[in-house]
Amino acid sequence: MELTKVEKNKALVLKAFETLFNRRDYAAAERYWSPNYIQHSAHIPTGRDGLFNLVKSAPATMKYEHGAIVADGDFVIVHGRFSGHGLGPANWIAADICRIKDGVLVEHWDVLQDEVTKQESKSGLPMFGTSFPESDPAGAPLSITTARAIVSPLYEALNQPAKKDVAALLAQACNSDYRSFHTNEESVSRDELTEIFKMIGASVPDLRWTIEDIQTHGNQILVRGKATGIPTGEFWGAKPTGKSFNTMAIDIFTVKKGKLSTCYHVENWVGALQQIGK
Amino acid sequence: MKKDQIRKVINVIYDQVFNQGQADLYPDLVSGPYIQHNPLVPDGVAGVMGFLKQVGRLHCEVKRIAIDGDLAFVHVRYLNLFGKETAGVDIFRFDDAGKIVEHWDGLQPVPAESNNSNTMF
Repeated sequence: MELTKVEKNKALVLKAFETLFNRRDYAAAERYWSPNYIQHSAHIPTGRDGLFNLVKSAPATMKYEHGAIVADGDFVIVHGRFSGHGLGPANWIAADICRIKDGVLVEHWDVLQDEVTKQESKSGLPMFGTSFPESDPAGAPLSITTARAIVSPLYEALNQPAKKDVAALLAQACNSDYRSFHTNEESVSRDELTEIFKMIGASVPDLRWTIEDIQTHGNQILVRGKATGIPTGEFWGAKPTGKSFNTMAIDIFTVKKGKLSTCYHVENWVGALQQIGK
Repeated sequence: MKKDQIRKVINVIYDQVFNQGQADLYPDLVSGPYIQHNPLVPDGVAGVMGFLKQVGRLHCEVKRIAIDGDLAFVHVRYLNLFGKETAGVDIFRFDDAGKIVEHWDGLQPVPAESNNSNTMF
């Protein structure tokens, strides 16, 4: 009889995970989760609704694969991989521990760890399954929400820069070896960019820089921005006239390890200078 | 019968090898080549022994054990692993003689903040 119970419990957990994480059939998934579900995973809000709402907010690219699975008494533990979750570049390797009662999941604990690449592994063997993930997993594109969270400190630093800690905001958004390209070949470092932001902030104290459109493509983030302000000091060689400008900027970023790695950018400063009537 | 044998091996690992730092008991519990999937530890028996000797005593509490066929999953709370309270799950595969032949694990430092009030354990 014990054998029947553990086999049933394993099948239940696999069916439940497939229904919720891969098929996203929330109505069907309600059959497998107790309404009084007790959650111990630190990143999941409490209860069945907490879990379901988190899955609803995950990008469509999220996929779950299971590996080894065991059942013992009321417990089922399963080794798995979440890819395309949009919360960073690495897949998550999970050990999910479920307690089963009366044919439904009633309690859950987990351990989540970023999956390493072959270059990062001392053992030389994959953490999960039979193969390593690609170095830059194309299967895990950035979600718009994640992209916005990554770039927002950089744009924050471009809104009234004199009132902001520009260095700290850029350190939050960009890797230490960040390169910002103003031509196809020429670039500046994060520290040099900090000084440029401060310089613009000194010339245009009321500078406002908004994200008008944001898109992602693999590990790239594309932003169409709007920059407005009234120069009070010399601005790209022009004396202030008291007039404001309103111009467009295009930024193409790449992301590594959850932070910005490079940016190719253009701003229509010629148009801005025409508007202020140099 | 076999389940009891596996449970005994697990008790030795967490009580004696980890909590008491008796790394020398470990080679008797395993059988080569010992396939290692933990990315922080080199493959093989020598790899795991080097790791155990380097970390010394590891204070931990076993929270849950599930044994099924030749696999055992162990849910563990490490009080201070690399400077942090850490949640772990070890997965061991045993051969017919009750020796460990393969190991996977997952480790996650317990975050300062949680989205629920139930603790990770």
